[in-house]
Amino acid sequence: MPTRRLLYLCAHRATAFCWRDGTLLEEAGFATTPAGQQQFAAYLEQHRESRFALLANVAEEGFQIERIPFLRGADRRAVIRRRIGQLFFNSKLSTSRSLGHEKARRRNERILLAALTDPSFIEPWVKRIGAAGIALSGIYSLPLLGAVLLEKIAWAQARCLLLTVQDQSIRQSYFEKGELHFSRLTPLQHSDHDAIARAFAAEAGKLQQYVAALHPDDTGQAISACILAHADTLPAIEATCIDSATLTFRIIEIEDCARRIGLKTPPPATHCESLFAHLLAAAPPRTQFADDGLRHDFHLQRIRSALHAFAATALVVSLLFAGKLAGDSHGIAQQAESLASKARHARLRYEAIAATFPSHPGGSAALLHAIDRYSELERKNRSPEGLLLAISRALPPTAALELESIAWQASAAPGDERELATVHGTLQPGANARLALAAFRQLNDALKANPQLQTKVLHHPFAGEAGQSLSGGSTRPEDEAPKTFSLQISRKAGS
Amino acid sequence: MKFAAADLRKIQSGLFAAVLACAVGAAALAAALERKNEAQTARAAAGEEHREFESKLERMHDDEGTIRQSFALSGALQRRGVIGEEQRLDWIELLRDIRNKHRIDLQYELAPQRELESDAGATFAFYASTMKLQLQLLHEEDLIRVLDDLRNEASALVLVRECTISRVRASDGEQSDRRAGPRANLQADCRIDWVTIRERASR
Repeated sequence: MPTRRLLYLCAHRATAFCWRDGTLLEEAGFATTPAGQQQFAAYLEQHRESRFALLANVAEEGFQIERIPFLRGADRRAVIRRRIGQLFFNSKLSTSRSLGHEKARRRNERILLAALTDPSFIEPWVKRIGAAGIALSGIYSLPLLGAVLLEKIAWAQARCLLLTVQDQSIRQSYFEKGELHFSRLTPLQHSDHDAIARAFAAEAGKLQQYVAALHPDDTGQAISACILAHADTLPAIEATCIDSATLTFRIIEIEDCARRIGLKTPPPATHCESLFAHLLAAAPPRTQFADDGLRHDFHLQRIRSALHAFAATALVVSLLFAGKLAGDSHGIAQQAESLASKARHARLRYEAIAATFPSHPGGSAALLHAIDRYSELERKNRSPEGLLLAISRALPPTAALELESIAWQASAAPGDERELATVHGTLQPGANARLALAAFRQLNDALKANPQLQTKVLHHPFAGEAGQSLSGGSTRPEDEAPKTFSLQISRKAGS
Repeated sequence: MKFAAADLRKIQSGLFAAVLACAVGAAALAAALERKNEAQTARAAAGEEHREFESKLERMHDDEGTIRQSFALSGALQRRGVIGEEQRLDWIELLRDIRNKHRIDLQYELAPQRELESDAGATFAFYASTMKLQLQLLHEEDLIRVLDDLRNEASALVLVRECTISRVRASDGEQSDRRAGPRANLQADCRIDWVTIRERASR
């Protein structure tokens, strides 16, 4: 950050201050002569990286309140520029300050126009600053700091005067609702307490009359005058500045004022240069007289500072995020190491158990797969014993019925675990047909009664069903031949 | 404010600092991000490996008994001869022993060996030799006993595919010669697969 410095310029002297750690330190003084300006240039060479502000306390200053239409942007700036040109003969050091919009329908804007009407007094100093390539943050005037001062000492009045002594002059400013309307500078002939007190009383009276003339409707109301004075001068001022019906005085000790604005070293006398210099350094007002051309180096310095600040911020933020990511990485790496350790431990336990299993050159997994398949084949292996036993139990105890053959097979279809048996039998010739049929039916019924079996008659011994043809006679030899039958029996595996 | 080319020199230190800070910051962020990604990848891999071995261990604990039983069974099958080359000579001797034991007449025909299931990727292959077995029986119980003996004694897995039991009718000549001894009442014609297991590479 560049060091902030301040040049206080009055009619007889220029004083350079340095602002450091909230304290204003007087560094050098220069005469307002060409020789003094040369010394100032030499002083500037030692402080090329500083940022300067210029505070002027000069009599060649103009203030005017104007009313302009409700405008915005370039139109408003153009109107203001034209009014300044008309009022202050195109002074280069001019400024404006909005005092608000009227509440009437047209909403005209009230503007305070101000200018340093004798720029030639200030320009040499400004040029020296520009020639050294030093940033000039602004050109300020002491009256404009008066509003800041009133705010700091909490002196809120509808209309008031502010009288201060600095250099060899008295500055008298008029404020309405905290906004500067007018200011003038009067030389101070003598600096003793009585002379200062008399000057306060006289100038306050003059200014009150001037304001009363400007506001004839307010003649019945008293104006308050705020005077800043050292404790040593107070008795004289209190004896001289007597309240009247139109003018009241409020005297503020300069030490109290210094304390309120944060000035650690109060002025030793009634002179308020250091008060205003401190105000400018601590809380510079927005209104100032230098244009963008004069402040070019200041803008460049701000851009450079902003770039440095951005660089620092970007670097810090990046490093913070990188640090956080690094912390996350460390935590994740620890988790990974823990998991890897657990995985190693699990692998060792697995290998230790696997080592107790018998091994096979072809691979244990392949061998186990083959064993599983063998077990499945063995489980599905069938024997005719079950079905033979079931058929045997179903046979009726009669010689009229004989079995000729039983063809048993295990189903070859994949997934089909049934057994099939095809039984061929005969009913003996000469037997009572009804008895033989009863034997066949008994066999069939016994098989069907077995819940584990499904029985189907493939060939019935007697064509006695309604859907079949029937023939016979007394001399036909086939009536004596054995009657054949065939049954198909199936059984599901496991039943 | 109007910006001139000469002004660039006055702010070049700021520009340089900003660019350098951005570059350094970006590099630091990139490096830290890369490292975090690597750590996350390593953690994922370690976690996957851990889950894999924990899962294997869990399966191993669940299947340990079964695995040991399977290994024991494989040893028994190897000793019995089910795993290994076909021992046709043993089969023939077994049939002879069964014939003598049960005093039955039997005839057999053994077909060439074939692969039972086609699974080119498996280390172990199942092979089957189909046998047609014809038995002359007094009683169907004889068939059951023969098949049980084959299952229990054979150096193969004996799978009975089909059996047809038929009554044998005596001829006039046979009836007059009953004094020659018991005659078969039944004939059984069976188709049996003799299954063995062998490593493919060993053939």
